[in-house]
Parts: sequence; structure tokens; C-alpha cells
Amino acid sequence: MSIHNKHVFTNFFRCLWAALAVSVGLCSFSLSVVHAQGIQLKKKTTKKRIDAKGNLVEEQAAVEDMYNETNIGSIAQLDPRANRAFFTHTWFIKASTTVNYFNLGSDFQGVIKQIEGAFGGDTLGMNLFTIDGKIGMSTADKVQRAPTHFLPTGNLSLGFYFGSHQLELEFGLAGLVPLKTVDISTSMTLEDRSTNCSGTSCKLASMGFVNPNTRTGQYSFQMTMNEDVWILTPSLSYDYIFLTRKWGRLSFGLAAGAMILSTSQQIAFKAVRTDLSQVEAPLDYLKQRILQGTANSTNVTDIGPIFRLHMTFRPPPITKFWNTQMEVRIGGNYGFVYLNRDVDGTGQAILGDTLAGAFPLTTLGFKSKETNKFEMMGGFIQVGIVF
Amino acid sequence: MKSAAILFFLGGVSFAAAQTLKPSDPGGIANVGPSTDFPAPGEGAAIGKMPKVEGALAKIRAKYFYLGELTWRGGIVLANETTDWGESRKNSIEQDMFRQVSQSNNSTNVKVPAVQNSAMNYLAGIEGLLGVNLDQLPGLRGIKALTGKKFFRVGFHAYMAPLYKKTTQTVSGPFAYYDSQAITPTRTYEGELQVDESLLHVSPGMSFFYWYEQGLFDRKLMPYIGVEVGLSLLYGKRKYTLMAQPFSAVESGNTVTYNVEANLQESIINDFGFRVMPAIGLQLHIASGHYLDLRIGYQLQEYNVTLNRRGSLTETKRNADGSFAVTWSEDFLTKTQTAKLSQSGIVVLLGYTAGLF
Repeated sequence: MSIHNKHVFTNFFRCLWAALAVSVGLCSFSLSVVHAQGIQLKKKTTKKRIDAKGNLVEEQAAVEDMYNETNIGSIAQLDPRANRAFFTHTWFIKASTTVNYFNLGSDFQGVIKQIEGAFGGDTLGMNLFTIDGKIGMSTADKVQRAPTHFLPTGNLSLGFYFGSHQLELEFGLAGLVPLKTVDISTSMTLEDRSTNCSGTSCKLASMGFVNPNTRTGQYSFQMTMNEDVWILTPSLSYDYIFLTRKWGRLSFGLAAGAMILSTSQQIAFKAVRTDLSQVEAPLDYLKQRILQGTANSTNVTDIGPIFRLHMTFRPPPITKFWNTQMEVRIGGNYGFVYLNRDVDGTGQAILGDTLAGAFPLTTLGFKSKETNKFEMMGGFIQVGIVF
Repeated sequence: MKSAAILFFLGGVSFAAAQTLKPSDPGGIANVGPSTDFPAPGEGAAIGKMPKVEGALAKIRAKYFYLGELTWRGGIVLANETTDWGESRKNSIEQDMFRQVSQSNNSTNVKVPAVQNSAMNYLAGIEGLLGVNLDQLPGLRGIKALTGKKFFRVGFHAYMAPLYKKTTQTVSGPFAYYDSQAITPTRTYEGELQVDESLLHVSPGMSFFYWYEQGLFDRKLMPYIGVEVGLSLLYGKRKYTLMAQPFSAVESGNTVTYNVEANLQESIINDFGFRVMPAIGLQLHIASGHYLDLRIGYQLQEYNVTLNRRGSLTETKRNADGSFAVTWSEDFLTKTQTAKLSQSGIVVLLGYTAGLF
């Protein structure tokens, strides 16, 4: 992450929590005002709607009714249906988008740092042929996973009103779009850190991967990491409506749900040595030295809980858009999932056009099976349209 | 029993013509009052009197749809693996885990049976259905036979089957690997090879049902028949793990130890398939707008999946003092492979329905 990005995210995070704190303060104040002026809730207002003939109709209605009448399940527009319908008049459907800002947690950050560290100079084991060596790979530009602190989800909700209470069943979906979180082309220095050898008696040097004097080799380096993520989040939220005015309605609430997470990372890298001395034909086919590798890391349908606290603002119905309402929700969330990842892949060392050796990624220190805690702690903003 | 149910529903379809759904007893309905809501259980005779409400979306709703409801349901799928899926698993074990395609090493190893598992997967989902006023649809308005008919429900559904995680095949050793050039040509390892599969299916689609709206026992029980049609997305993996004990041998008078390590991952990322499910069902009225729903069907849901294959097999020799001697490792050559995966089978779903209007 660049310093600039870090700065932006830090500021955003601060702003988010500041907004939340202000909202809580505002609402606490408003709550006391509501108790003091509860009579205002009974006041009438002029409600506008479009009738079947397309005429603008103005009529008197209680202020709070404006927000309880959605266009499909509206009090004004539906006849009483005591026996057929569920919670007569008081249900609504909401389509929304949520943008989550979150921190992945130290455990998962450690996994990312393991990949970053592998190409950032950490000492790695390398078993190849008769080599039992220690190496370090340092890229000129840091191998870094692009930050995914922002996660948008699309949601569909079914909600019910009970006076000042509101329940909402929500189903959120994120993912499906592949992300290229690493795409780097830079130079790399390979360093032989094996002990008990020197010069060409060091096997990496004798095989031509490093200079026997400096024990380093210069490489051109390319790496990509593509990720696919699916997040399914069914949840149930409760809101208490504490303020209803002509300019909007405020509520606060909480939600609990499940986070069903499936992820896949496909990693590929290739390093070609660039500082070999010139080898003339016909032996130049022996010249190239390449280190390359591919790996997949996959987990499927790991499930964990997620909890939210939020503040909801619903402006008055937008008459000219079929009496629909907008809803804005801001809050904080925390959830976690234990990811059971399978990590498999191989590296290859290629010597000229004639000899290639493979080594499993486990020799570099990666585990074939790993369980990591994926945490989502942060804030979210949700904007929806209520029908 | 099944054929009796089918006959019953066929009878229901032919009876559609008799479901005029027009107010047959104006006096009786009028006595109820001015309400023109879709009739509740116990008011089957009022089925033709629908609300004439005003207002944008509500007007559209009332004109084209006589009913709306939402159902949450869960259940099971009883499916069999395809021959192709079982064969591809067998081939991966034989050719990659047992090195039978290797040019430098090979192994006849233990015989791998072709296993075709029967699998039970869990399914959960949501469905929104709308009863359609067919006589209001463009192009159908002039058809007298459809006037007042209310028997067709259409809607959207989305199911997901997230809990398919199981060990699908286990092969017990000893496993023998042979290399004519090695000092010890045959290394024999005791152990076990295990194949684990995890699959996530998400199936969005449309539902089309003939609904016997007049119902039985005065709309306490409403049978229906129809079809669900849609897409299905698949995400998953198949993991092969060889867990083996070290093998000891004596070479030039010294005891050496061999270890074998093999892992193969075949991942499936966002593959699509089609899903069709003819189904029959019963909706039982509980109280007010609450219903129980039972749906039984046979789903055809198959995919040609692309398996992204990564992994390796490595043997390492250590000296008697535990120091490293030599290692050789093989990358699996086939990086992608296609196989036919099936989730076709009998589906049984039990649900709760909330009547919305």
C-alpha cells in the first residue's frame, strides 16, 4: 500500500467513526427531544401521491404514516386483507448496496505478509536435487497485495414494521468478479544464504543461479495473483424508530448474521537471470537460469458470524418516483470466519534448455493445509431504495 | 403413490377450465363487505374478487398479479456422481498421485477402484411468487377462456447448497514407487490417500407453477405442479492428500530414510450449469398469512467443470543422521482438465410461506 493510500484509508476510517459518533450524539439528543415533544408525532402533514390516472393528489396524513407506507404494501393503496397477508400493510422490500470498510485482522494479514515476505528478503528453504539451501529473494519493487479494505455487497431485504420497531431479513452477495491483487514486473536479487560452503562449492553457484563470488544473482521478475471471492451474508436486523419528522425518520439498531466465505488465489511468478556472462553459440542454449512457480490457495464455504450496529436515516417518500423511499444506513461491523485453505503448487528451477527440477512450495515454508482467521472489523455505509 | 399424485395433478390441470374464479355467489360475497382482497382460507367462493386499488406500483401490482408471497425453504438433494466425475478422480490418483504417467518414475501401485458415490447435499433458498392475472397480459386480454382465471404463479428463486464437504474416496497403501535408476529402485510406503471434496452451488432462476387456487378443504391445502428453470453457479475444490510413513532402506551399508509427500488440488471457480426441476408440492394454511410448503422434484443440474490442477509429488532421502541427502519432485503435468459434474437427483424441500398480498 502506498503512503498516499494509507493516508486516504486512515482519514476515511477516522471520518467514518467520527460520523458515527456524531450520529449517536445527535440521536441521543434527538431522543430526549422526542420524549419532550412526543405530541409532535401525532401532527398531520400533507402527503402527495400519484393516483391511477396520473394526477397529483394531496391529502392529510400522520407524519409517521409517510414512512410506513411503501408503494407495494402501502396503507393508502391496499385494501384490508386480514386473513391473507402477513403483517397487513407493514412489509417492504429494499434493494441496497453496502460498502464495507474493514481490517482483515492480524492472522490473515500474516498470510499476506508471508507471500510478501517470500519476495521481500525472508530466508527460505530450498530443496532441489542435492541442494539443501537457504535463499533470499528481494525484489526492487515490493511485492504487495493490493488493498481490499473496501468490499461492496448487493443486498435484497424484506422488512416488517411493528409500530416503532422494524425487522429486516437481508441477503447480501459480494464477489464473482476476479481481482488481480498482485501484478508486478520488476528486478530481483537472489541471494544464496547457505552456510558451510564458499565459491563454486556452493551448489546454487555451481548450478549457475548465483555468482560464486558475490553469492547473488540478478533476475527480471514477474508475478501475478488473481483472486476470486464469494461472500454470502444472510442476516436479521432490528431497528428502533425514535424520531419521525417531515424531513426524515431516524432509527438505530443492530444486526446479526452469517458470513459464508469462499475464496481462491491463483499465484504465478517467473524470475529469469539477467547477469550471466555471455555464452557463445553453440553453448548458449545452456545459458538461461529460470526460477518459476505456480500455486493455488482455495477455501470453500467457510462460515462465521457477523454483527452490526447501525443508525438509519430514511428521508420522506419520493413522490415522483412512484412514492419510493430512500434509506441510508451507517454503522460498524465485526465478523470473523476461520478459513480452511488448501495451498498447493510447485516451483521449478530451469537450467538451460535441458534440465529442469521441481520443488514443492512446502520447501519454501508454505503449508499445504492452513487455517486462518479472517476478520472483518470496520464500518459500513448502506444506501437502499425501499419499495 | 407417485403415479396417483401425478394423476391427481393432471386432473387438476384439466380442471383449470372449471376454475372460473368469478364471484359465483354475489350475495354471499357482498355480505362480507366491500373488501375485494384475495380470499383467505375459508373464503374460497370470493376468489374472483380482487382489489381495484389506485396508485403507481400498487396499481400495476393489482392489475397484473392477484397474489404475492415469499417462501423460505430448506431440504436435501439426493444425487449420484457421474461416471465421468468418478473416472476423473480415479485418473488423478493413478496418473498423478501414483506417478503412472511419469517418464522417469512409475508405479503400478495398489488398484484404484472407480467409485461412483451417492451423495446427499443440503439446500436452502428463498422464492417469491406472484399469482398472474392472465387475462390482463398483453396479447391474452381478448381470450375469453382466460377471463377471471387465476391459477398461474410465476416468480424468482435462489437456492444455495453450501454444505457439501466430504471425503469421497480413500485408498489404503502400501504405495510402491519404482525408479530403475535409483539406488533403491522400489520404495514402499505404508499410508493412506484421501480425496476430499467441497462444493458450493448457487442456483438463481424462475419458477412457473400451476396452482390449484380453490384448494382442498376450503383452501386449507393447495396442491401445485410446475417447473423451476435457471442457472447454477459452482465453486469448489477436490483435494488429494497422500499421508505416508517413512520407508527405511540400507544403501552401501548405511541406513537411509525415504519420505514421500504428495498433494493435488483441483479447484473449480465460477463454472456455470443449467438447472431444471419439474416439481409438485402442497401448501398448507396454518393461520392468517402463514403457510407451510412441501415441494418434491427431480432436478437436472449438470456442469462441464474446468478443474485447475496444482500440486506436486516429492520424495526425499535422508541419511542415517537425519541430514538431507537428495530430493526429486514432479510437477503434475496436466494443469487444467474438464469433467462432468452432476447434482441431478431427487429434491425434497420444506418451507414457510408468508403471504404478502
